[in-house]
This record gives sequence, C-alpha cells and structure tokens, in this order.
Amino acid sequence: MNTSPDLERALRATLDGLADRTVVDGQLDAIFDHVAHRRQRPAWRAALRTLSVTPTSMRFPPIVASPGWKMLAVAGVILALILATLLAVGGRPFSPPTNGRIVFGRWDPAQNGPVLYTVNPDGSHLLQLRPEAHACPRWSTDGRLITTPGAVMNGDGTGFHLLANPTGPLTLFCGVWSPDQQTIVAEGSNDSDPSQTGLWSLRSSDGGGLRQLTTSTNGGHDIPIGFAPDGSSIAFTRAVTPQGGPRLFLADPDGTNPREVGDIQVDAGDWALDGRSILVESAGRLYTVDIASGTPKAIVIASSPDEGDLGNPAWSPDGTRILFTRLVDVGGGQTKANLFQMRPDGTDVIRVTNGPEDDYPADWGTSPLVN
Amino acid sequence: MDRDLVVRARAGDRDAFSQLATASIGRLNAVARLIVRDDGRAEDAVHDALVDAWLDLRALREPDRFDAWLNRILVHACQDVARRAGRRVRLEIPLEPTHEPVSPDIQYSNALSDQIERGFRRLTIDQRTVIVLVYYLDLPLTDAAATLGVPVGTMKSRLNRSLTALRASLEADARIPSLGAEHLA
Repeated sequence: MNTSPDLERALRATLDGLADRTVVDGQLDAIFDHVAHRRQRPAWRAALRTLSVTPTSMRFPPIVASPGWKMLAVAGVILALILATLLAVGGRPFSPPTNGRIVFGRWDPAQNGPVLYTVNPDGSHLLQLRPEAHACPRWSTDGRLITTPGAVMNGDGTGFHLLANPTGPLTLFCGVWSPDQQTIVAEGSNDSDPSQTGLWSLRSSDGGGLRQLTTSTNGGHDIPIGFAPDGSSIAFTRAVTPQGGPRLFLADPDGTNPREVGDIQVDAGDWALDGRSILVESAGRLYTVDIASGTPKAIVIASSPDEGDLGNPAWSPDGTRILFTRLVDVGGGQTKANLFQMRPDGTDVIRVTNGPEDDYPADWGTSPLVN
Repeated sequence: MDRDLVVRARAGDRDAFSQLATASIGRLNAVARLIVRDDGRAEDAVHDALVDAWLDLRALREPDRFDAWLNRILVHACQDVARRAGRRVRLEIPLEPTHEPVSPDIQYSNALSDQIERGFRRLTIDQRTVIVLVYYLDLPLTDAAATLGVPVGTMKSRLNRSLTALRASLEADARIPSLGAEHLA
C-alpha cells in the first residue's frame, strides 16, 4: 500500500461500517431486570474493581547483602578486571562502545506513520532517512545498519531492501538484532492461526530461515525488547492475562524457557550495558528492573521527579546516558512527544528534538556522529 | 445526554436510568462489538457495564461526564469478558457478496475497507480499544487516556503503535496478489 493520506478517513469509514448498534430483543429487559434486583454489588466484584497494581504500590522484599555475598561480589569485580586486562593484552581493545547517532520516527500526518530520522545526541545534524514511513527502527550492534519491520537499510537510509516476507496471514512487525547481526527476532502475529503469534527469527540478510521461537499467550503479542549484551537470553513483553498490560519476560535465545521478570507492566525497554538490568517504561514512568531480583528502581528527572508521561527509554551505547520521550506542552491543551537525554541520576537533561510532530521510538547507536 | 436524567438516576430513580440506558445502548453495543469482536461476549460486556453503572452511579460526581464515565466502565467490562473467555477473542465478520457491477473507485474503496477490517481484527484487544476510542468515538486523546486510566503520553504511544501495527498488516496484505494488491501497491 502506498503512503495514504486517506488511511485515517478509510479507518473511520470502516469502523462506522463494522459498528453494529443493533439492540437484541430482550437485551434491555434483561439489564433492567438485573438492575431491579441488584441493589448491592457482590463483594468480589467490588474487590475486583478496586484492585489495581501500580508500580508505586508494589512492594518487594529488600535484598540484604550478607558479608559472604559482599566478599563474593568483590571477588567477582576483581575477576572481571583481570579478564578485561587479559582481553586488552590479547590485542583486542577493551573499551565501552562510543555514543553515536540516534535513530527515531517522527509522526507524519500525511502518511499516518512515522518517518525515520537520525540525529546527533545534542540535537544537531538532523537527517531524514527515507521518504516513506517505517516503524520501530533499531540499530545493528556495529551501528552500520538499521532494521524496521520487514526491511534493512544502511545507517544513512541508503541500501534499503525488503526482507522476504512470509506468505499467508503471518505478519512480522518490530524486530531486534541478534548480537552477531546474523538474525533478526521479530514480533509475529497470525489471526487465522493464533498458535503462530509469537517471536519469530529470520536471517537479516534476506529474511530466510524463518523460525518460530515463542508462542504468545492470552491473545496478546510477544514483542521483542532485545538480546542480552552477551547473547545469553532475549527479553520481550508478553500479556499474562487477556485484560492485563504486557509484562517483562526473558527466554533463552532459541525461545525456550520463558520466565517473567519482576511484577511490572512494561511498554518498552532496553538492556543495560552490563546485562544485569533492563530499562523500561511502565505507565508513563521509567524504571530499571534488576534481572536477578526483579526489583524495579525508579528513574526520574531530578528537577521534576513527579513528572509522568515519560517513555520509550533507551541506553546510550556507553551506558552513561538515557534517551527517552517526554511530553511537551505546546499550548491549547495540546502536547507533543520530543526526545530528551539525561544522566541515569536524572540530571543534565538535554533536549534532542523539537519537531512539529510527535517523535517516537528511538534507538541510540554507535554510528559515527555527523560534524 | 440529559443532565437531569443523570441527576435523577444518581438519586436512585430507576426510570431515569432506564431512559439513559435506552439512549446509550446502541452506542455501547457498537463499541463493545468492535472491541471484543464477538456478538455474544459484547452483549455480556454491555450488560455488565450498565448494571455496574447503576450500582456505581452515586459515585459519579460530574453528571455532564456521564457518557465518558460510561465509556470507561464499558471498556473495563470488555476486558473482563475477554478475560473470562480465556482465549483470543476473534470473530469472522461475514461480508455480503455484491452482485452489482461496481466502479473501479468503489472496488478500490471496498478492497481497502476489507484490508483495514482484516488488519483491525489482527490487533490485540488493547490496540483495538485505542483505535475505537479515537477513531470511532472521536474522543480527544486526553479523554481517551482518561477512559483507559493511562497518561496521555502512554495513550499517544499506544495509538502510534496501534496505527503502525495496522499499517504493517495492510502492507503485508498488499503483498499478497489475491487480496487485490494491484489496487493498493
């Protein structure tokens, strides 16, 4: 389908056509009969209606470090330093990745979809990658390539090519790179056969080698967050109840052994550089979720700690900054989402974009800065 | 929506509530059928929503917000019935075949509408809810966010994601020649 300014209108018309306001015979009578005989809500329903779990109301048992654990932790740090030195001596430079360009989607009302841009982390040198709309861009590990649903392109938008798409009703959506960049793991859905809805793996070169990794549950979709930096697991979100929001899950790289991490609703996320936590958005707020304990720790803007409406967080490649979206008041009761970045302690907030429309899911790569 | 009816119903006037329910039930049915995609469960959701509304009406502080308040109860009821169903809710909507000759423009329009319907059906119940609130009920984002009880930013993210998911689904369909890709490519 080409870029369609008519999609919104067509969507409204389709919904109007599908909408069926017919009142079934006896429907109102049954309701009125129920109303006439129910003066009090059963206790279990009242309890259900007041039951809601928010991140701020969650309580986790504190993790108390014993002297033995402290010694073990110190030994681990020493061992890590030794390993780092050995790697460096072996001729392989050991340094964290450098922070490069940020890729993001800016909503284009004419196309009813996001158009991709890259920008330096200070907001300079904005570059539009493609004329058409694409969603959820992700940098490859080496910062040279970008994947969007069903496609791969170079970091400057050139070399765009579609990956082979599965035939039939299976639809592949947002994808993440494997650490070796050989495969992409994407969200897949098939309404005709829900057993095919889950994470799928495909070759990044041509889209071949299609393989299902997980099967989603409760009518939701499994949506990939990313591979652990060491490739030992993949994080994704999954609905654990039909009416519930997505939760944070890990699985082995082949999709086996899925397990929930913590007890938190997650809308987006990104692995920390050390692989020990995942930065997530939950109900308009940011948290790091410790993998081992599942404990969330709030990340707030130091100058406005109560501010909500933060989202789409991503770590900088060197792990020293956090990229996120923040709603900015543009007057007339309207807001728009812009990209910001800050230190993990919430200080040194820098505005990255100031576009005319909402700027959304972004990924911070190692592609060299433009000067 | 008649404010006086809401005030009377809130005070316990069952006839007033009956008039409100009668005036609202068509819209509620339409919204529930779009979200749940199953007529029987949609009726259950509307039933639960109106009974809950009667039981909770005393807690409604702003009578002028009755419709928005009722929408919120209905959305929760839809999610409840989906949970009780315990499986993915979907329904094949039968399309009446047309035997009348149609113009290319109408063919294009029908093909696009069919694709949108298929794409809409593939969305999750949460994504369908977001789209119904914004594109069927025409709620401003702030009201849609309030209906779902989420921040406006989260609502924007969800709408963005729902539309891009729908779009990806349309693009996938357009690559299948049998679905009329020649009209849509």
